[in-house]
Amino acid sequence: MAQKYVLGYDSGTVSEPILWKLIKDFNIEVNILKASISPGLEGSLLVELHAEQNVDIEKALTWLAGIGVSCVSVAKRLTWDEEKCVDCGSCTGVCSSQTITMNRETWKIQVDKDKCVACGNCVKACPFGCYTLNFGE
Amino acid sequence: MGEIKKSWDEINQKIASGSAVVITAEEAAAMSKESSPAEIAKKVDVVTTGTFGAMCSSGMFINFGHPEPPIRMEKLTLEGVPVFGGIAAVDAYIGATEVHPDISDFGGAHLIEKLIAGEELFLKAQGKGTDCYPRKEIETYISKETVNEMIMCNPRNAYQNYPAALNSTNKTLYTYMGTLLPSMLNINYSTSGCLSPLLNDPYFRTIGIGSPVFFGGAVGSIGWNGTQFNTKKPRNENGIPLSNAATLMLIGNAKEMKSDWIRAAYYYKYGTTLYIGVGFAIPVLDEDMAKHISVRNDQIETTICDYGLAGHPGIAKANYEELMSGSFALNGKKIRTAPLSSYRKARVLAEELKQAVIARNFPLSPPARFFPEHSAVKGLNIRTQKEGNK
Repeated sequence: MAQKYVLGYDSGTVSEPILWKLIKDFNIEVNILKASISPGLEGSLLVELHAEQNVDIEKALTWLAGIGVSCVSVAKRLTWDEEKCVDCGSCTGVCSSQTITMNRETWKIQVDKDKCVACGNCVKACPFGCYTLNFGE
Repeated sequence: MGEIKKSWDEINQKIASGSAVVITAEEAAAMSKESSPAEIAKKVDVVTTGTFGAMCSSGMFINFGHPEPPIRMEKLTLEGVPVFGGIAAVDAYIGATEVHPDISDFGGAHLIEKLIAGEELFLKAQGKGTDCYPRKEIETYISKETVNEMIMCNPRNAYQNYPAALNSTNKTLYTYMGTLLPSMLNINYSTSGCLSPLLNDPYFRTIGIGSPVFFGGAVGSIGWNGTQFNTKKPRNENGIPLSNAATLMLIGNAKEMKSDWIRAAYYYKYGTTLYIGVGFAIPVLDEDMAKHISVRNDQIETTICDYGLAGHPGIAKANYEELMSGSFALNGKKIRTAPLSSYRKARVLAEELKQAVIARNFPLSPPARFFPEHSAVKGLNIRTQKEGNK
């Protein structure tokens, strides 16, 4: 199954071509969804990792951690404060990944964190500060 | 069978005897698919409406009480947010959109929200010192319990319809109509459709100066017509103005208001604003009123305006059934639509108001005076001091 992760690293600690290694050595399909790399400083990648067997992903994550790449599941990155939310819907128009949708029966917001691509639009669109996202922490 | 007519008194007597039929405007809209206005006028006595959305032109008068010796408060802040002190000694006005000089997402709206929630705020005030008000400075804490009055007085609330917004430019715009993605990727709208208060009495037969209003969880009053009150906007065949038209000046006791219905908000790169719950109970006096209170989302239209162009010109017309469906087709392209006001909360409000009317906790009374029949909105011309006043 495919899962989205934010990989964070800095050039001082990571010198290896990590994506090439993930593909070649760990047999993982890598799909880059967002990349923010400042040459010679640090990188932050939003990637979707897919492998035939989950154990391959686990091995890859262990290897990444070992070489100093932080690796956090995106589903864990987006937080939504449901208590604070009034279901106004301002966030639903800016979410292209369909993570945040409006249930048009109950008119309540629904958040499916697995679909999140960490674009950050909801964080800015919410008038009540209900969303937080720490991309490339 | 002659046309049905009911007076305010007759409807109030039915409420008093427990025999009045009270429904929400959403229920009335559903009823209109099967029943004629005459049938609805016969069956239904009162219809409740509601909206819960951003109302920027809002604020609160507050009277702090006098310290000993007293002070003529001239420059004031609450939690660092400037508060208007150009009225008598310890009176002040907290404007919802006044922003903290160093904290862009914190402002007057948050002060109002905190006061209603019962929190203490830090007050700092200065005056020049006069013979009658010798004190020059004060620093203290105030709360709902310590102050005399907290009177919400909002010059422009509850817009009768509002244009929907999109953005044709190639960069994101952050507006009071929310985040507008580039290349017309989304349309934002801000009206609770068939539940919207002023769309259920579009010619103001039952709503006017002095009308009771569900206001932030308390029973308030319409003080006057709101600012930028506009009777000149074109209407569709159902009497619905096709863009922002009438407005209300609302007054109420903020000490009685509830945190559920008053929420501080911040629009990114725009500023702070206040979300307020507003609703009316509308008597179904006759068939004409029955037709208005049962208006459906497909009969309520608005203009879609392009916020990417100067003057925000209208580029299309849409009805609320389309806008509320989640997408709108414009020039063959499907555009995602999103509300800015909470339809869930609007429903809850109309239902609460229905229960309040039935329990005789919300009064029904005719307006003391009606709104102006002719009122246009002017712009502002720019003239230099050199050109002088003419």
